[in-house]
Amino acid sequence: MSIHQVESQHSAECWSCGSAHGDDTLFFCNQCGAIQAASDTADYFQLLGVEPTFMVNLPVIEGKYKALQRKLHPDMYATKQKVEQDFSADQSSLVNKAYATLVNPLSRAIYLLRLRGIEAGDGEEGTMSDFELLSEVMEIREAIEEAEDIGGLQKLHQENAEKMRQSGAAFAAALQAGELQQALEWVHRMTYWDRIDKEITRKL
Amino acid sequence: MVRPILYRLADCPNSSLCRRLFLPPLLSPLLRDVPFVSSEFPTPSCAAFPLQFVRTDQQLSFSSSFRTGASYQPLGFPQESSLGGTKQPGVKSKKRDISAQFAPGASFPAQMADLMESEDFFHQAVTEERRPGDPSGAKDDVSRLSPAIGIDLGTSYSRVAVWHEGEIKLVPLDENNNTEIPSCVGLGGSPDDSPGENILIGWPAFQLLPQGRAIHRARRIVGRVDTDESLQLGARFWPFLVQLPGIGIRPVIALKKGDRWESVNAEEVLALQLHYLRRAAERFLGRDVSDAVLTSPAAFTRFQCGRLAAAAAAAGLRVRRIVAEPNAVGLLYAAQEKQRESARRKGTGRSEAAGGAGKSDRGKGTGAPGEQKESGRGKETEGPKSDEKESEDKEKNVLVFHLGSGYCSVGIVCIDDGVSQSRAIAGAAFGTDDFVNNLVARALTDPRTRAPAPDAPTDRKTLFWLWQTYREAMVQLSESEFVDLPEDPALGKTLSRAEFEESNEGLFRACVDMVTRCLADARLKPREVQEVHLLGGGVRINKLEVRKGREYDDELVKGAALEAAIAGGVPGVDTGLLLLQGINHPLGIKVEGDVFQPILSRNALIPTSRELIFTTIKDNQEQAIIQFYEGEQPVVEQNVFLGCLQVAPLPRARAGFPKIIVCLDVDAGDALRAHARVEMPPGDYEDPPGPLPEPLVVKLPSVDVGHGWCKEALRIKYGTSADVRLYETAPTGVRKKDA
Repeated sequence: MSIHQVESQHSAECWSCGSAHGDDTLFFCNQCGAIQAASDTADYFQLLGVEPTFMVNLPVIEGKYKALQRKLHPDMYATKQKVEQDFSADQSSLVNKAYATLVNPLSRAIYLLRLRGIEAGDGEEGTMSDFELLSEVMEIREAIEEAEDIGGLQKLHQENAEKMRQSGAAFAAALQAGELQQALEWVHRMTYWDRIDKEITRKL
Repeated sequence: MVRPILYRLADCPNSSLCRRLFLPPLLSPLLRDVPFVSSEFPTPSCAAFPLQFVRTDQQLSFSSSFRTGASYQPLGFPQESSLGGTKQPGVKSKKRDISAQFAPGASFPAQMADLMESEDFFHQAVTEERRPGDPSGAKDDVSRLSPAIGIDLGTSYSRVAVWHEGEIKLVPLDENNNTEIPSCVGLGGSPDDSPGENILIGWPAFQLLPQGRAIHRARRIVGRVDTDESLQLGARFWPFLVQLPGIGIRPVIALKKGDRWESVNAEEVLALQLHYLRRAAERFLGRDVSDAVLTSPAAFTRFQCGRLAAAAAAAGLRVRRIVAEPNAVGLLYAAQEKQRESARRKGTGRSEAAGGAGKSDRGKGTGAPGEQKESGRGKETEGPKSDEKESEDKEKNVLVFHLGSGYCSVGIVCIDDGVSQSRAIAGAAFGTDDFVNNLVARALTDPRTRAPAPDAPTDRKTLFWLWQTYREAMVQLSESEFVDLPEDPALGKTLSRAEFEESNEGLFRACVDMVTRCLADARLKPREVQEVHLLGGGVRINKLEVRKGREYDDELVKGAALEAAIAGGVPGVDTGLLLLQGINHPLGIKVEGDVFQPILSRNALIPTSRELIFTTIKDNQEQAIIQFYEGEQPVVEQNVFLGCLQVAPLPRARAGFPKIIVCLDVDAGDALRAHARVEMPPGDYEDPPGPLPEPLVVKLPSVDVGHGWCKEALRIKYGTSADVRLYETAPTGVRKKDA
């Protein structure tokens, strides 16, 4: 959290007009429209106003994100009071983080688990006991090493993207069914696919 | 072999916008289906757009009183004083002869100090002489709001633009009303024969280059150290003195004064240029200018940006924002698209009502006269109209490729209804200069032995002449396969395009890699890029061509001016415009084993912050030194050191027990702060832990030299005793999260 937030906690009342906040007050006072301190309870889905599911509609997220930044970005508060500028900096930063987390499938999955009290790491590779997966990953890595031309790499890249998509769908299903342990395992797989994706793009 | 094709981008209706660029053909398969926007840019539909390319003659309609007043003298500093005194006879003359201060014996930095001292005088001169009939001077509110100026302090040319009277205007920078001047600072005699040597800037300084009496390319030097390889290669061919001992200090540069070399540093040179540019803007606007938005290459480190800001401060300018070049272009284009879109909508509505054929926004009469009082520019825009674009999705991914003389910047921005969001950015510290360097280096090498040719010239003047010759030849290569070189033993007879391509294969490859990386970062396929904008030199060579009025690089400075207006909340600017910038290089700290642990990743949109938890590596470790780095490399050694902070005293505890929480925070102005605090997780302590260190915030970069010594000193003094590593979250598995 940034410095400003330490000084100005999210409070139950509008700093400007004093009216009480409703539950839905995330950015602006319902009464006077003044920008408020960043919420310390709302999750990223609430901030961007989308359903907390894995299968999100990316264009919707993009649109909501830009609409929010248009209202919250510090550039819009150049001539306002210091307190509003500080709130804007925090809010804008928070929305950026929310956007970055939700727009990427892996970080979105990790975040969904975190909301359920499960820590899946930060996309780091964990200990893995699924030998089948491990050997699959090894094979792909070898294939990447050996790939001679761009075409081969691109093929691997596509295959990997497909795996990521499948793992994501499986994760979404497990999450829906409340099978958190299973969902976590799918996140592990997604972590590997993400790694492989990065390795391929580095070589491309 | 890489065979670059010279794309001569078709001349657009606005003849001044003809751009040429060296692009390797490898780029073209990547971007095969992408229309090159430059050929139809600006499109006729920008007729109503007030930000559209302002012709020099129109720009100058601002100041009839200006011209008819005292003679408009060149903007050399000494002349400024006389101008301040003479322009309006009614003003009590506070004239101080600055040229007298610049006595021949005075050292360059001392002159700089004098210059700073005389700031007050300049200010007074400017504020007192409100020109009659100048609206910006008359209206208090306008001058109070004083929008920041946009400055493109380029490697070879500088430009200034500003939001003025409802549109972006390029500021004339010298007596010939050039809106771009060479980024040169020199010492020379003044035109009015006043005694001593004067600081000259722009074209007058440019003339002094071959004699070593001027400095150019200061932007390539600033914030870099003498161990920098590309600096070492390039500096051989500069006409002024450059000393690079190769030990990690800032380079010593000097210019010729009489028969000896006088040392200056790059920041001073930049400060002088910035001061000059600021003065030109003040003159143009008739008011004080205190704030600026600068553009920077994507490759600039935070350290270089810091030095640039310091130079601006010395020139009396507060830097509001530093905008990476691709983002500046993106913002301007987003604004133009928005304007075009609304003009189109209006135009269509109107023509439907009139039963017309639609798309009637061609030219002046049928444009959208309601658009911000700016219908008068329609006559500039005649040309083909791209109808197929009309039905397109409004979100556009635009690839910006800018190859300047000193730096190459690539970026992908997503344009959507006035918002320009950075998707990916990449930069490298090479430019067209390096292409020439390679040519000269090739000419000086014996082709058989690969050793330096025995009769290769070594004196500065000849090398610079060679360099200029090749630079010229490179430009001509964009038109023909072969170029005849002047007769000289050091030169071959001709230079062919193949030779040129061969010498620069590596650089072409690097260009392609940057584009590829950007596409991968943005998770876009080439066909998902709707447009490509090409900018920069490759061709900007002699001033003759500049006089023809090429303006293709103006987008940079106009974008900066627009961002200045937006971020300054200037009334009249469309409030729907917004620039969302990302981080250019990953930011992180050093962890155990000299490993770079990124905290904020590349392209993370700002403002942003992120914290990571670290811990001690030894039992009862007394302190932790958090070392901050910026860069792409996995080992800290190859990244740029930004500074460090000491977390001490740490409570006595097992290794891996204390939580050292490090947060990196980048605000909307791209200022970086590091926060550190310590927490002790609940547990059994053998000793009660002492008081925890108080939370600490450090502004970065906090060191003076971007590289080398500091981290070496840290290593010698502390070794690994104060290292940290990532705090172990439980091995990936189901685990309740911390309270």
